[in-house]
Order: sequence, then C-alpha cells, then structure tokens
Amino acid sequence: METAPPKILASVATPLIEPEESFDPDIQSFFSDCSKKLDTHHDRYERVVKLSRDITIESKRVIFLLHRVQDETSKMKICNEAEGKLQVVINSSWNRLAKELVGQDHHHYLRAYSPGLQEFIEAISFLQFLRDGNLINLEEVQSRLTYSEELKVPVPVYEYLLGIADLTGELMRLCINAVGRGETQLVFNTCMSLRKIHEALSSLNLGFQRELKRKLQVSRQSLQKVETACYTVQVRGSEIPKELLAAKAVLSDDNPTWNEEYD
Amino acid sequence: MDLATVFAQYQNLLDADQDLREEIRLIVRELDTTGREVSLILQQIHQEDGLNQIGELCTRAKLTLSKANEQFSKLASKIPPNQYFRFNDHWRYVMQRYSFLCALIFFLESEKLALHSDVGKLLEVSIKEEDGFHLDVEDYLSGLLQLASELSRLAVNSVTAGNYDLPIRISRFVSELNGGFRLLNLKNDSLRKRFDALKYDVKKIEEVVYDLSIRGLRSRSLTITK
Repeated sequence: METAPPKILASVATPLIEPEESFDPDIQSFFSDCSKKLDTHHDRYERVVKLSRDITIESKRVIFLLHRVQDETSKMKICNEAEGKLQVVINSSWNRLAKELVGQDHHHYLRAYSPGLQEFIEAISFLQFLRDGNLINLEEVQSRLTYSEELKVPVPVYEYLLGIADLTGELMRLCINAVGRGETQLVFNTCMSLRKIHEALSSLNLGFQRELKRKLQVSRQSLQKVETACYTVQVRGSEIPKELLAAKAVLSDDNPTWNEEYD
Repeated sequence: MDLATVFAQYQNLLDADQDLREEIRLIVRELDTTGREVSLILQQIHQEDGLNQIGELCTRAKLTLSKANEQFSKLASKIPPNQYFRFNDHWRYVMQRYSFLCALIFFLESEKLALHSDVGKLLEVSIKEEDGFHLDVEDYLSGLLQLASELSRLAVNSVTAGNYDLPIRISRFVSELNGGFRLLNLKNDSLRKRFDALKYDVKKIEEVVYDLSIRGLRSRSLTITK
C-alpha cells in the first residue's frame, strides 16, 4: 500500500552519515595517538614560550637597571646587582628551558624561545660592555647557557647577532644619557664602540636573513644619532651649559624624530 | 681577539648555513617536479572513464613515486643529525603534498585510510622523529585534509561518470576522517585552518549523497526501502 511520497521520505530518512559508534575503532585509536603526539609537542612549546616571556621581562629589567649607572661608584654596585639578576635567570628560567629541550631537536622550539634569547643576549652584552668595555662573543654567551654536556640551551649564531644588533640601541641611549650628564669622554668612547659594532655587523653577508637586515637599518639610525650628538658636543660644548647641551644634541635638526624613536 | 676575526668566524657559520640551504632548495625543487608528475597521473581519475583505470593509474603513479623515494633519501642525507626542524620549512609544503598523493593512492587501491605508517612506507621515509629526516605527523595530517577535498571532487565527478556507489563510500570515509580529526586539539595554526575547511568538503559530499538518495539513485537506500 505504499505510495510514492513516503518512499522518498523513507529514503531521505536513512542517515546520510553513519553514526560515530560505527566508525572503525582502529582508526579512532590511531587518531587518539596522533592527538597525543600533537599535544605533547604543543604543551612543551607553550611551556617554552612562557619561560621565554619570563626571561624577556627579567632581561628588560636588567637593561633598565644598567641605564641607571651614573658614575664609577654606582657602576660597580649596579653591575653586580645586574649580574646577580642575570644569574638568577640562568639558574631558574633558562635551566628549566634547557631541561625541556633535552632529547629534542631544539630548532623545533627555537621560535618559542628566540625572543627571550635575544633580549637576554642584549642584557648580558650590555652588562659586559659597561663593566669590561668589550663585546661578549658567541662562545661566551653559549657557555653561560651550558649546564653540562647534555643540558644546555643552544645559541645559534643568527640569534646571537640579532641580540647584538639590539645592543646598539642600548649603546645609543647610554651615549645620549652621557651627553646629559656632561661626560664628554664617555660620549666619544661609546660612539666609537657603537661604530665598531655596527661596522662588524654590516660587514656580514646575510643572504636571505631579513630580520637582521631590518635591525641593521635601525642600528644605522642609532649610530647616526650618536654621531650627530658627538658633533654637537664637539662644536658647541664650550658655548652652552651642560644641561642644555643634551637637549641641543638630541634635538638638533638632523634628529627630528628622536623623541618618537627613543623607546 | 679583535672584532673582525670573531665576525669572520660568524660569517663562516652563516655561509655554511646558506650553502646547505641552497643545496636543499635544489633537491626540493626536483621533488616538487616529481610530485607534479604523480599528481598529473592521478588527476585522470576525474575523467569520464578514469574510475575504470584506477589500477593502471595507481601503478603508474607509484612508478613515478619511486623517483621521489630516491630524491627523499638524497635530501635526508643532506640534513645533519638533530637538525630536521632547522630546515623543514623548505620542504614542508612538498611533504604535505606527497602525503596527500600517497593517501590518495592508498584510498583508490583499498578504499581505506592510509595511516601515518602507510604513507611513510610509500614514501620510504621514516615516521619517527628520532630518525632525523621523517614525515612529521602534522604534515601527514595536512595531507589527509587535502585528500578530503580531493575526494569531494571525486564524488561529484563519479556521479557524472555514472558511478553512484562511490560517493556513498566516500561519504562514509570522509565522515570517519572528520570524526578522527575531531579528536585532535589543534592550535591556531595552518593545520587548524585546513581542518576548518573540512566541513565544506563534508557538506559537498553530503549534498551529492542527498541528491542520489532523493532520486532513488542510491543503490543501498533502495534495498533498505524495498
């Protein structure tokens, strides 16, 4: 007694998609395995990102601290304090990060810890520059982050160079602050060091490394600001009081954007 | 040591990296070409009588794939131990494409889901991270998602070619795949974006099945209503 419409209804009513219970359990368990693999990686990655963020924050604090150096006596005290802070970072966050990387290909996590590493290199190189007056090299950075043969955070050369490129910005600030305090000799010395580092960085053939090329342009701008400041100090140093000189040096016609880029 | 000497060392490191990347790029380009050849062969399944030649097409595809096997082993030999993820950006896309092609061959031959290990076997590439050069699980999964959209196309074309059974089986296969993917916790990355597109493939296949069902062309549903 069936008529046409119910027939169509009946055929439509057959489920288009099979219920999930009928799925092959092997496939389901295979996907569960995949899920575990993905989760393990993602979780570790997230932990590394968090550690990297902590390192960035602490490194920034150290940099701020180092900019508070006013004279030789405060320098020793502040450098020691900064060294202590960095050592804490090395012993805590970096150590935990190194443990996350044991048995892993660290390149898989490099993107997660790269920001922290660059900031850390910036801080530690700035400290060494202030204290010893030289540029920390890759080997020295690596040795600070090496706990044992198996336990270490690898520092790729490229990341090191990015950190050093950031250091030029700090040297620029240091130099301008020195102008403000009237420490003419420090201004000229810092300018010379900054020029040397910039020249060394620009001498590298970078191929396709875009990020470093960008930072080099910023570094070049920092250098120009500092050079202009030196020029002003040299030319007008004898004419105006030291307090005004700083303003003149950084706000000269060649540096109209100084205030915007200060940070 | 003066700055120039130290930086010359850095330059050496950078150069070594660039040189290796250059070599990798060349091999990846070869792999890309071979992948296109395999793809070209498999595209014939969408043609009018393509479904009748599946056996032959798969044999030819696998024959071409053997070229890729050699290229993969050449590529693997270039990668220093424990540095797979330093360079894998160069071949990630190609790897996903191959993963898709293998999963497609596997489906056409058996109508089953190619597991991670099945794809690894076809590519002759390890699936374990410990082995260095390997088929990463993310790339494998990405290949499966490409497979789903290819099958949604095949479902449409097989109806045109007069084959009304295959879309039903594809529908079951893809919904099972969809169920599997829903077990994964995906991050907000490219795999996640691909997965978000899966529902459109599912929908398209459902529409084909619906069209067949409502017109009584679906052989299985006919037997049910009888």
